[in-house]
Amino acid sequence: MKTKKLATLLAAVSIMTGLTGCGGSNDNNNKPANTAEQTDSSNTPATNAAENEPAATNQQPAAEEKKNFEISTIQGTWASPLPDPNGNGAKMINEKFNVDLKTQFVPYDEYANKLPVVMAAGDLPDLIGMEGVDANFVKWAKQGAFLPLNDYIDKYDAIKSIPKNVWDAVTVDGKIYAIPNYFPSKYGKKPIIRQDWLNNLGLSMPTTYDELKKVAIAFAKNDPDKNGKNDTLGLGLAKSIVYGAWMGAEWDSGWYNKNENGQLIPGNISEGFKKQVTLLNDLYKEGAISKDWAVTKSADVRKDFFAGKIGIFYEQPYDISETRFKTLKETNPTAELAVIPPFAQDDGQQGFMGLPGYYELHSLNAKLADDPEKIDRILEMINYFMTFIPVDQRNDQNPEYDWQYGGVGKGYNMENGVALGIDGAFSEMPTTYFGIRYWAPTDEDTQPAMVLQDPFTKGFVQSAVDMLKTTKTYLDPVNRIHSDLLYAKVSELDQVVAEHTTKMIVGQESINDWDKMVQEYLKSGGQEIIDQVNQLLNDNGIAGEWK
Amino acid sequence: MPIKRTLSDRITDGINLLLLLVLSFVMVFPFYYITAVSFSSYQEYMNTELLLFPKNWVLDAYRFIFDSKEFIRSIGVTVYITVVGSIVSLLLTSTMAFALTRRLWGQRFYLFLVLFTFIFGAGMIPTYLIVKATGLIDSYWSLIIPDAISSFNLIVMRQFFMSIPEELNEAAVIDGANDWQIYTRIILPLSKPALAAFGLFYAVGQWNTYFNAILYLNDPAKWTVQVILRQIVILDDAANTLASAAREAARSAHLPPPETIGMAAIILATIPILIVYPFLQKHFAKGVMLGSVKG
Repeated sequence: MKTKKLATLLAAVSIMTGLTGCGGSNDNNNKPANTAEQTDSSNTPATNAAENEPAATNQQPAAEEKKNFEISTIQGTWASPLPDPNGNGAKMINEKFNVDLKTQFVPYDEYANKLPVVMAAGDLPDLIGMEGVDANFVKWAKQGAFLPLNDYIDKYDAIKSIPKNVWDAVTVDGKIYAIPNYFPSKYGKKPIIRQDWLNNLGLSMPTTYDELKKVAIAFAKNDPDKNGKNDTLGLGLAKSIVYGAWMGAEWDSGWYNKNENGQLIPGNISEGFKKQVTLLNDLYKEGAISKDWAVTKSADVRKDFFAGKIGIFYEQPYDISETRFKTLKETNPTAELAVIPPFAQDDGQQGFMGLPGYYELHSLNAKLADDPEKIDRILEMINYFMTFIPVDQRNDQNPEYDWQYGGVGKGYNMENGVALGIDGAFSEMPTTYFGIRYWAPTDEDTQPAMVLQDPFTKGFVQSAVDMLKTTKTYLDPVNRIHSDLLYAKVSELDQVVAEHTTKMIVGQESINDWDKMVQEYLKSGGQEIIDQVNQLLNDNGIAGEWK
Repeated sequence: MPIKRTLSDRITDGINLLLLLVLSFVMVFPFYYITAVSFSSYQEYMNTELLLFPKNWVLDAYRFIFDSKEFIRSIGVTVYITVVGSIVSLLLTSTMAFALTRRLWGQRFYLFLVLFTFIFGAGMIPTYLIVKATGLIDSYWSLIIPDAISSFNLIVMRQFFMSIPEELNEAAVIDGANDWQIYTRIILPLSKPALAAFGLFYAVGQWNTYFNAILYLNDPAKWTVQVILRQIVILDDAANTLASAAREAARSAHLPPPETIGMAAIILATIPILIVYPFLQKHFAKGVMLGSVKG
């Protein structure tokens, strides 16, 4: 009888954990976004403004020289907690610019689903934020949802300073449809190595793939952390070949290499990438990468790296959290990190693949076209938040900075002469409400190490910045054109390639079949993509360049 | 006098017990692991392969969450829509199921309509437009009304009502009861197991409301706990494309607080709905109808 009771209890426990564990939500309309695309193609952005009542209803007394405008925005955010639409920062903006700001923030996780719906329902606000340029952006721009900005931007110094290669990214049929947000092209993920492990084993910084192979294998086999245990790996690799071992543009996945007809081709089917796959396959055979990398999430690999179990991984010197670095240093007091300089390529070049040079963008609603005053007011605000303040002036002494960050003691505190945002005080800072970044004249001007507190992290970032200062960066030209075939097909094709290359690395498929894989890629639509991309590059006179 | 158990009975019991043990372990273990991590220090979590027994229990993660107004408020919102939503859903489902068991003019047509939605959904945008047109945007009712009736639950509940002997209804009619009284005095009391089961389904569904909240509520102050939770536990999947490189770098600035906080948030968001279950369990016992009809 006792067993019966126990069995019932177990069954009950199983049922309840199982029930709550699986999110059996009755959301039957949680369909992927492509259903939305099918439906809204017939649904061009509606033209009836639901919320845009003329601001004349709340006219200020005549003493005000500026007219008051209600300005509505929608944008995605990573911030947690979300800024409060009625927070102090919003009030400060309202006062300074004489507007009535109605912001709406959506977590980026679901923004891609929400925006098309808002678009189709005709509820589009005045200012629309997007994470990047994608098929939707181009489609909506062509359908006339956004305001062309070519005639307006010359009036604004900060906006005007945006370089042409970034403008190209938001230009559709010669018209600029958005104002991109600054992001340094130099400071993306870079290969980093445990310098102290190199020293312990008496090895020098690798400069070729052969040397890299030796180093990674030594890291796995020769007890680089001197703890007497066989518990280290050479290189951290996660599923879908994140991040791999790209030591320069030639071996990366961007568009750098050319085929025999002189056409630019995507990195993942190039000879350069094949070299990387060959190396990873060797490392896998030697046990220098984890046996189950193909099913490991990148977050878990990162965790292992910062726990001091992996010798080579990837980090960026910009916008980083110090927590992980601190943890690494606390548990491995001897740890030293360095960026691996790019290897010399066969074509004599040397440098990393860069980022597009922007991240996030803001478009204006096309309905504003007959209200030039309002357009100017919005652009004035964007320009104001974009105007660069040198890093050494970002403190309580600078009235503009102080205002933008909500005032010392409310939005930020001064520590060791550096302004540090107060945790969770987003709603105190006016700058939050537009999500615009300063447009730095050069990437070096961002001085990412300046704002860091933890000496170990600061040291690493400073050394990375110093090294990258003299390193070239390749700007991928494909970021500057809009190929509909590329948007539509490339992710599917890339997935097939990723599957093949994964099998090659773990030895289930021979690397000799590389050309077969490339042929398959080209036959299933890859060649058409390459043709269209190259056609567009030629028509617009755009080519890859080193910066 | 207990029935004597044979050897084969015992073997069967043993095998059952073993299978259930394995099954419950598989289901309970993730919860245990999350609990362990939520009470551990970030450092210990980073440096332990599989953390099962934190060496020192710390409450930092929970402190962090309780310090944020958003989480507490969103739990309140979720409790509200779960309670109200489940009641509304049960009321609507049971009345409709009851109506479809009566001899109703056009019954087959209505059943066909229900089955039709079982297979075909309108899609996100048309649904949004209806919610907008009915003025539900930015109101909690947008999370309750659109999914109030699940066709599957409706059909199963109707079957359950049909299994209640017709003679009971006839007896009630002879005693002068109208349809409403039959529904409230005969059907509902006899259907407690079904109501409890579907109530639980609806409650769990409402508790997990996430996507609809983001879609229909523009005011972040109204969001449900699952939305806030997702914000704290940002999914961290790097794709190996250059476009995502900038994204990844930009995200780092708003890096979610250490994983331990995410785990604590999961615990806090899961526990309340787990607690509901034991209170409903007593209704799952069948057999209330024994002896109601003389055969």
